[in-house]
Amino acid sequence: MRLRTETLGKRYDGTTWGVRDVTLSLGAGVHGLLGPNGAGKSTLMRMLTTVTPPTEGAIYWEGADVTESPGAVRAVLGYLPQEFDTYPTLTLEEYLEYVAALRGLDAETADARIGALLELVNLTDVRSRRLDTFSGGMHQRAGIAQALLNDPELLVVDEPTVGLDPEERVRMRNALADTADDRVVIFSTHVVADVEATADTVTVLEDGRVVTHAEAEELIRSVEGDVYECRVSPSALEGLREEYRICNTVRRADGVDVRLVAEAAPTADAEAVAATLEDAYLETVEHAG
Amino acid sequence: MRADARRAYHVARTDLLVRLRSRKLLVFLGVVVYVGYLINSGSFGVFYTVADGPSVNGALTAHLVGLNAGMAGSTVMLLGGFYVLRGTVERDERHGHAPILASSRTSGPVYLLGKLGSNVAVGVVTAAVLAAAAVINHAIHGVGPTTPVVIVWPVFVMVVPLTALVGAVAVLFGTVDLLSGTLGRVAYFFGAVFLVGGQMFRPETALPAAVPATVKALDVVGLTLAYDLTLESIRTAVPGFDGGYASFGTGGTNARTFRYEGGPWPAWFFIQRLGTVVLGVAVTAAAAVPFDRFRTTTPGPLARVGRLLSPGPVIGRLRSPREESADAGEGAGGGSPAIEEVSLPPVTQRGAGGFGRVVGMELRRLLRDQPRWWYLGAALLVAVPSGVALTGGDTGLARGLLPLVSVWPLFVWSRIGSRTARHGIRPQILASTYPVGQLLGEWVAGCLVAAGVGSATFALLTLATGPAALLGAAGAVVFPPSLALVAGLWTGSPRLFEALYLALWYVGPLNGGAVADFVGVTTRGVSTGVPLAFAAVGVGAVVVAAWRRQVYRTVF
Repeated sequence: MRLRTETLGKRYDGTTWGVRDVTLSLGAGVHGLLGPNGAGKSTLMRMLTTVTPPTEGAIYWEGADVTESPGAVRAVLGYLPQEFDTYPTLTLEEYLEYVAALRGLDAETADARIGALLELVNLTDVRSRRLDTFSGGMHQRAGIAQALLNDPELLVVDEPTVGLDPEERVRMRNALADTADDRVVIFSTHVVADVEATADTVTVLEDGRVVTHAEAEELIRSVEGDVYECRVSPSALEGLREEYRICNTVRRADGVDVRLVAEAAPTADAEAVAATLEDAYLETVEHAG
Repeated sequence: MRADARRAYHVARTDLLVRLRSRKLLVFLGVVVYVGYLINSGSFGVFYTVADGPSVNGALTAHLVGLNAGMAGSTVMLLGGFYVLRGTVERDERHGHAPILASSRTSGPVYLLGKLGSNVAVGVVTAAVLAAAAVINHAIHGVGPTTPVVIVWPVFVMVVPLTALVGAVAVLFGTVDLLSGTLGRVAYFFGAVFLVGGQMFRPETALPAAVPATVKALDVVGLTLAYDLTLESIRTAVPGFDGGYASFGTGGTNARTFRYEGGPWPAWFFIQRLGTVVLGVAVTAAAAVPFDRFRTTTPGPLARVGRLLSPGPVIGRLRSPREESADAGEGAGGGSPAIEEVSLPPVTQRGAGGFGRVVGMELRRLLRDQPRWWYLGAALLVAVPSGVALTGGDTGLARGLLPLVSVWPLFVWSRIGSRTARHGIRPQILASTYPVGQLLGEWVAGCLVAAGVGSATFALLTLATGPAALLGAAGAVVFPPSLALVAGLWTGSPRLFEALYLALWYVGPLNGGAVADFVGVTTRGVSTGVPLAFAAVGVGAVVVAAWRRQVYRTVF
C-alpha cells in the first residue's frame, strides 16, 4: 500500500499558501510529521484525508487519484483531527456505533471492533458514560478508538497524544506503532520523542514546505558527533546562544546545563553525547529558517 | 463600583466586537432595513379601519416615517431580535472562555450586566441602521421636507429601550438550562405573540384617553402610541372618526389619507419605555440567581429544577473535581491490559453497513435525550387520532391536530443540520465513507420523525377528506426537516430555522393562511398545491445542500 502526493499545495484567501509543493511517497509504517506551529501539518493532513481539496497537485492512494475518486481512500481511512470533538450527550459506545455506521461497518463487525478497541484504549469501564463527563485524556483516547474503528489501511492522526498522562501516552504511541506493519500511519505531533520512538520516516515542514524527508535514523545520524553537553555560568549562556543551536537548558545551583549542536566542542569541559531526533529536528528547522 | 463598571464595560465591548463580525447580525440588519423599506415606501404600513367606509392611512411625512420606522424596528426586535441577541452566555462556554471568566474577579451579576450592555448596543446599532435607512426612504418615497432629526429620534426612543427588555430575557434564558434550548425559543415566540396580541384587549372604539393603562403598558410595538399621536390628523381627514384598531397591512384599495405633521408625544409612552428598561435590568439581575458561573454538576436550585426537566447539560461547562479526577480512577492507565493481549478483529467488509444504518444512527441521535414530556406528547399525538379512527369518532379532530403534529417535532428537527458544525464533527464526517450520506441520513431521519408523529393524524384526515390529504402530509413530512437542514448547515445554529419555521407555522398551519399552509390545513391551500410546492422547495434545498457537502464536487 502506498500514499503519494505530487506538488501538493493549498492556498487560503487566494494569496496565502498553507502548504506548497509537497511531494511524498509513503509506504506501510509510521511516518512522523514534525514542524513548528503554522508549518502546515494539519492542512496537509486535512488534504490527505479528503476533508479539504488541494489548490494544486494531486494525491494518489494505491495509484488512484484521490481528488478524482475520494471514496476509494475514505473507505480505508482512519482520521483523528487535531480539534477532535464528539456529540456530548451520546455515551462513548453510542458515539463509536455512530462513527462505525459512517465508516460503513455492519452491526456485528462494529460491536466486535468497539469491544476490542475499548480494551486497547482502556476505556471499557466507561463505555456507557456520556462523553461530556470525560476528562481530556479519556476524550483523546476515545478519538484514537474511533480512528481505528474500520481497521484503516491509511491512518492519519493529528496530535494523538495531547492531553494523555505519560503512561497512556506511551501506551497509545505503542499501539499505533504495533498496528503499523500493514498500514500507512501518518502521525503529527510536537512531542519529538513520540516520533523518535515510533516513526520509520520523518518529514519536517516549515512554512508549508517540506524541508526534510528521511528515515529517523538517517536524520539522527546527520547530527551525530555534533551534540554536546556542558555546564556554564548564566552569563556565558548568552554567548553560546549567539553562536550555537541550543537544544536544551537546565538550571542548576552552580550554573546551567546546556545541550547544543556544534561542529567542535564549544567549551573545554563540553562532552559529546548521543544525538536524538529532537537535536536533529531543531537543527533542521534552524537551517531551514 | 468603578472596577465593576469597567469589567461590565469590557464584557460588553468584547461581546459586541464578536457580534459585529458575525454574518448573523448582518442578516438581521438586512431584515430590519427591508421591513423599514416596506413600511416607508408605502408597500405596507399602519392603517385604521373606519366603520362604513374605506380605511385610512398616513401620507409619508417625515414625522410619520420616523414613527413607522420605530414601530417596524420594535416589531422586528420583539419577534426576531431575541433569536439574534440570545446565546451570549452560551457562546462563552462553547468557546472555552467561561473558565477564564469564572476564575476572574468578575462577579456573576456584573458579567450578566455586561452581556445586557452588549445586547443593548446591538439595539443601538439596529436603530442607527434603521434610522439611516428611514431617512433615505423618506427622501425617495416621502412627502414634505426630509428632516432627519424627526425621523431618527423616534426610532431610538422606541427600539433601544425595548432591546433592553428583549436582551435581558435572552440573557435570563441563557442561564437556565431548561430555557437555553429549543423549548426556550418556542416559549419566547408564543410570549412575544401574546404580547403583541395584548393590544387587542383595547375596547374597539376607545379614544386614547380611555385606553386602559394595562394596554398602554403592554404597547411594546407602539400601535397605541401611533393611534394616540395621529388621532387628530385622522379626524381631519375623516371627520367623525371615533376610534378603531390600528393594523399593519396594505390598507386595502381606495384608502383615504391623513397627514401627520408631528406633535408632543404622550408622557405615558416615555414612562412605559423607562419601565421597559428598568424591567430589563431587573430581569438581568434575576438571571444572576440561576446563573452558575462555574457550571459544575452541582447546579443551583433553579438550575437543578431545570436539569430535571431538560434533556442535557449546556455544552462546554467546567467539570466537577469528581469528573476531573476520572483519569485517576475509571478509564485510567492503571490495570490496563497489555497491548499485545488485545486482539483486534479484522474488518473484511467496509461497506456492509450501508445507508440504512446511517439513517438508523441519525434517528437515534435525533431522538436521544429529548425530555420525557416530549415522548409523552408524541405518543399521545399518535394514540389519540388512532383511537378516534378505531372507534369511529369525529374525524374532524384530525384537522384540529394538524397544527400540533406539525410543531411537536420541532424539538427534534432543531438538531438537524447545525450539530455537526456546533460539535466539531464535520472533519470526521467529511473523511468518512458517507459524507453526503450522513447529511441525507439526518434529513431522512427528520422526515421519519415527522411521519411518525403525524401518521395517525394524516391517516384520520385521509379517511375524512380523501387522498388529497396526502398532499398535505407530503409537505408536513418533507418541508420542515429540509428547512432545518439547510438553515442549520448555513448558520451552524438551530435559531434561524426555529425563527423561520415558527413564523411560517404561525401564519399557515395555525392561522390558516393559505400561502404558508405547507401541511394542508386549509382547503384552499390543498387545492392550489401549496403543500406540494413547499415539499418540492424542500427537496430542492436538500439537493443543493448535498451538492455543497461534496468536498470534490464529483458525483453524489
